[in-house]
Amino acid sequence: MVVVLVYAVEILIAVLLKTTLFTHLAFGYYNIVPDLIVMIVVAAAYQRGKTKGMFVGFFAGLVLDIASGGYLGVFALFYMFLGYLNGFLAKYYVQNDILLPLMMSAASEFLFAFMCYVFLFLTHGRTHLGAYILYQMIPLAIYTCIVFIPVYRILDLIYWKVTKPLYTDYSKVET
Amino acid sequence: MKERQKPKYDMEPRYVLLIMTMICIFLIFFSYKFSNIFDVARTRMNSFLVPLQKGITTLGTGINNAVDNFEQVEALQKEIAELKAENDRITREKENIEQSLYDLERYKQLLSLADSYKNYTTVGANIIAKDSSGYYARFTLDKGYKDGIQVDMNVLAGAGLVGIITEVGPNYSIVRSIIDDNNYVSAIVTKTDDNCIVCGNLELLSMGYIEIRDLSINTEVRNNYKVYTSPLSDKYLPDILIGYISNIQNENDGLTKTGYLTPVVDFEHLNTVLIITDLKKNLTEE
Repeated sequence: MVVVLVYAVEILIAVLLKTTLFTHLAFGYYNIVPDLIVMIVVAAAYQRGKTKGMFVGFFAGLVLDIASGGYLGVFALFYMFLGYLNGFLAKYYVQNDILLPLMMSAASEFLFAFMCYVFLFLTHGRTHLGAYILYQMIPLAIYTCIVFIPVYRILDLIYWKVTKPLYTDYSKVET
Repeated sequence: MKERQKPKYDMEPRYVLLIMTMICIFLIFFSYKFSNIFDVARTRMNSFLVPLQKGITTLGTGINNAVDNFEQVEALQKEIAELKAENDRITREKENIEQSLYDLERYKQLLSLADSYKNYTTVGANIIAKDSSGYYARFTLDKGYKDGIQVDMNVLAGAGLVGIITEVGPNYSIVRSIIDDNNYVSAIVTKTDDNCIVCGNLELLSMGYIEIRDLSINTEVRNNYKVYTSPLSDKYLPDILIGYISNIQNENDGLTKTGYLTPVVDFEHLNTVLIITDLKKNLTEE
């Protein structure tokens, strides 16, 4: 129960910050902002495995869908897949390891941007993938990476201190 | 060592994924096909989010302004000097224009032309949240149907078109801007009266442009011509400035020309907008 509550609050804060305060941090006409939701989904999947990562992704995406006024379920689907894929790496979870989740977040952001391209842009005839990769995906992945380092420290701290893990042997994590 | 606690339900993650994917696809399908059935849930959720977004945005803008003020003193002083020079020039121009207006008025009376220019009623609103993912260019305003806002109302900033309202709640409304990749505006070019389509394009946006297409191949349009909303559009009110043309070129099909359009509105630094409370469909009915 506490776990659900903590994730609800995390998702809410992420969506709120992403749509308000972080727009001041955006650079360029493209509105490249660090994606807090991807960070939360990556952290949750890395710490807790596929199923839980999937649910966190689904609900985070759903809230974002509602707040942004697009079709319901699109972002939910994307983030859910990210949660599932990142869950595969949960068996390598080690406390205080930052390198693997950092690479996971970069790959996830890249994949997320690619899914957005395929489903939201290709469907109405935008075929210039090169420009999209150069101006949208790469800056997005890099920016997310930079912000991910402090954010992941906080998320990991929350994982260990607030939602006390259900198992003591952290090398064996539910997969 | 403590035993790992068993989960209450045991199901292969891939089956969970399959079920959830199906749920998502159903959600997408239903929200596409019957967009009304989720309105209650959407409004509930947004009514909860909007006050929070409003608070954070106010705070963020405050901090941003404080920093900006600090940085901008020097720039502003320079700008004041420039503006003074500009003012002198405009004053001279204004006198000329007043003279020509007087002439025009006289000619109009001679031709007994009806004054076609309409004064729209507007209401101001603040932007409280942006969908900053870069995939949509939408934002949330702090006025809803309680303030008389309706779907399809046009949104302006300064002299130019910003977008159109696509969703309205009790105390918020969502605007899809003209730079959104999914947005199409039917437009008209001054001087040549050519019809064309203005659409958002994510690729050109990094250079500060949006796209203009479907210009006739025979058009004599040049760069820096002004583009206005067309009377043909069924949602956008006529005669609202959108931007200036640049980089006109022939399309490969040999039938149309395309080009870039610089919007008059500075979308990067947009904080307040004006909503026109006249709807196009009401105006045409009259």
